[in-house]
Amino acid sequence: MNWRVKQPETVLLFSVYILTALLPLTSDPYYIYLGALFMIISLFSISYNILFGNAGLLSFGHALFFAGGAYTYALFTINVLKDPLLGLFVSILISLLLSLVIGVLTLRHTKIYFSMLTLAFGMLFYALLIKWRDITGGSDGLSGLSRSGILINLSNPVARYYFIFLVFLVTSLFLYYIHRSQLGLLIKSLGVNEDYLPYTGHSVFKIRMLANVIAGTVAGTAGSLYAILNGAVTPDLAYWTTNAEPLVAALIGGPKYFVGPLLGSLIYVAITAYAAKIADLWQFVLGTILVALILGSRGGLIELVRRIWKRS
Amino acid sequence: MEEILRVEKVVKKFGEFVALNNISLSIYDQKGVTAIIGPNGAGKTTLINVITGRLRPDAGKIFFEGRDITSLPPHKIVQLGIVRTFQVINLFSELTVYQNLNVANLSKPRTLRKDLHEVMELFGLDKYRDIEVAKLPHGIQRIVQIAVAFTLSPKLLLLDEPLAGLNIDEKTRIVNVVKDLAKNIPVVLIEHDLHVVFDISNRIVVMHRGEVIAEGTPDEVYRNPVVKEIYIGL
Amino acid sequence: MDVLSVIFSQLLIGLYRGSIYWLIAAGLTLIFGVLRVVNFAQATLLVLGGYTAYAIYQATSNWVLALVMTPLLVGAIGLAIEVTLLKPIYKIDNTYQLLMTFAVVLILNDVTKVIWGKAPVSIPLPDMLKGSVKLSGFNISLYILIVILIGFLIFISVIYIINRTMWGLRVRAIWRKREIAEALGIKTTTLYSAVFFLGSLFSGLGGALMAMFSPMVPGLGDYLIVYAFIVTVIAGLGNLLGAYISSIIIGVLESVFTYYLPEIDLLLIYLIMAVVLLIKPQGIFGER
Repeated sequence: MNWRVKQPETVLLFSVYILTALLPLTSDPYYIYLGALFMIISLFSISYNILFGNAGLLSFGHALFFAGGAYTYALFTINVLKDPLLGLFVSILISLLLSLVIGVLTLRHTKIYFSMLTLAFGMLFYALLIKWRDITGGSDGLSGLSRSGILINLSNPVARYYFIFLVFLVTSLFLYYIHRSQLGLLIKSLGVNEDYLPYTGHSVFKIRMLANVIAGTVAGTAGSLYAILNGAVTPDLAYWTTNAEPLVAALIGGPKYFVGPLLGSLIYVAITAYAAKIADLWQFVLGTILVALILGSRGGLIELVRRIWKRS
Repeated sequence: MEEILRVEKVVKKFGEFVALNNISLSIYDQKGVTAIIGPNGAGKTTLINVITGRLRPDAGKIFFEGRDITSLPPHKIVQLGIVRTFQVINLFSELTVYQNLNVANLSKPRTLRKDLHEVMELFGLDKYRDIEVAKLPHGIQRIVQIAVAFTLSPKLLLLDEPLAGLNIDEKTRIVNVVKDLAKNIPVVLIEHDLHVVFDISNRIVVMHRGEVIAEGTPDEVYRNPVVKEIYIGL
Repeated sequence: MDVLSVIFSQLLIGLYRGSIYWLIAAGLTLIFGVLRVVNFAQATLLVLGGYTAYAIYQATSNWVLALVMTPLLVGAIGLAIEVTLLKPIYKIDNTYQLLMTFAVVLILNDVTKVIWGKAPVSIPLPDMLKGSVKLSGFNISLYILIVILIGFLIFISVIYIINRTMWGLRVRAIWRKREIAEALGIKTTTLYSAVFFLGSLFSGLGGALMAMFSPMVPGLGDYLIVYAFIVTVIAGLGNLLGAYISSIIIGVLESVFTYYLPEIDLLLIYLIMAVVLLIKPQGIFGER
């Protein structure tokens, strides 16, 4: 697998930016919502893929960061200061701290233990969200989150959309930069041959931590955007099976490519939008897609396209 | 002559099997090749694994430049200056030659990093620069391994059977590379090809059943009856 | 009720819960040891067992039949899963096998939801098991005692089979060394299937037993697997003896914490796990 798909990826990425920037011109509130959701899920998936596709770590605790960001935003704007911009900043900071703590607890272990431990901690977080009713709203969660604040007013859905777009643009460009950078190369080397990496002088734990902090913080950012978009947060965001979403998105698109999760998120959001009736069976749908991908096309759609391209 | 590496009464067991039996040896801080030879199962690779932190000894200590490195993790040992290559080729197979060298280079502080273009030229790898290592012929992969080791500016280089699986031309190429490297730093070479060993080594250590049974100059070892017995008895 | 009997009944509940966790952990450990796969669906299979027992009971009003048939049925389902979904991908990276078991969790969760609905179901405790046994002045529910005994029996049987039989010898030979298995000429295909069948059978048994005491809901497996993981991680992956002892310990601790410190009971369990991992990363009993 070649890590050198530079130009087509950059073209694709900027095409996505242009399309999402122009989307509100459709004036369709449903599409605008879907577009915003797509951007949020993309950030969630790309950040997940830093761990999965690049570092070779299968996390079942990434939803923890997403929910953490969402709830931090909610709790901050309800209890401290009512402003989306400040809420976002605080949420990013807390996500950074959270990813450091979880990283220290889980990254010193083998990949298998890591998967099991992240699941356990994810469910701990979920349990806490349910238990501490008074703060977190329990199983009902928190709703009616205000979109207007002292610094910024996002009551207008289009304004909201562009706020999310801006954060999406900046964050994904940052991630793309990391992906193409030396740090990105080191994270990828983890996924390629983790056992050999220490013999080149690098600490596996250190590289894993860097990957986790970046991934966790971005997931938390996506979470707070989600809180802004929906005006509500619920504990199921932290449930360990929620990790299936970014995972399947990454697998659909292709985990070895930066734009893989982006493409996968597009398809994923499209499926959930047009099959809203099956919303109750989303686990079954995701499960069967996962089976199909594992048995058939583990490199995702992009790999499939490349193979067809090469043959012609 | 100063020691650069001292192995002191190291024991390593795998269940009941004793791979290293209270072994002690020294590598001296001199340019040139010290070869470690011995029949299969003598414990040569296990010794390298213990030195480089891949395995923890059950007893004994390892000292490098006077410092106890016995329980250090592999990446710290590399940072201190001991670099190894693997018997079974171990690289980032999905990455390019350049990327493999780059990863190694990045573990060094900026001032100690090497110019990778020069490194590739030195080892004749520039035309393979952007090719995935997995796609390269075996012999070239072995050179990449050594180039990576070179990039890490080793003070002590441990080569574990770098000639395994190569044809005559490839072997000659690697042998010349090793000879060049040995002009600047101490090199420890585990090898089965005794022609090569006797040709390029200053010193030979003979291992058998987890112990050192003979050491000295190639001449001394050649004439050692114990050594002859082991090799003929096989 | 005096303090002693409270403690005693909490202890018993703890042993009961621990035995259920053991029935999950047993399958998890066996399957990991032989196939090198962490079966994320292990607890989901238990829940499937609970539902299956319920279905059989609904149809026949015969709880004995339900108790006997369920493990076999769940074992068969597990076998089917192994053959159709896992066998084709043994040659590729371990991660994908783990992912496949995750897919099974997702699919089974919704399958149980569709077949039996979201409302909790259970089997009423059979009259025969409603009684209690007197032991040194304390009353022990017969049902709880039987579950604890069954758990212990399964433990003894597994240890015996692994250590004293030819089949067990083959299992031990390839324990965690899948690559060597074929070189040794061991028929891995049948062995893997047999182990997966056995592991699923244990889960099915656990589910059938549990259904008489606690209600089954879709997604219950998602909770239970956490305990199984905590047990396994504390015990050390692949260690059967450790898994049994840890299951009992966690079951008892959980019971005690829930009673005396309900606000932070979950946190305490996690704290224990975190501390164990900090001190002994391979688990208290060591990986096997």
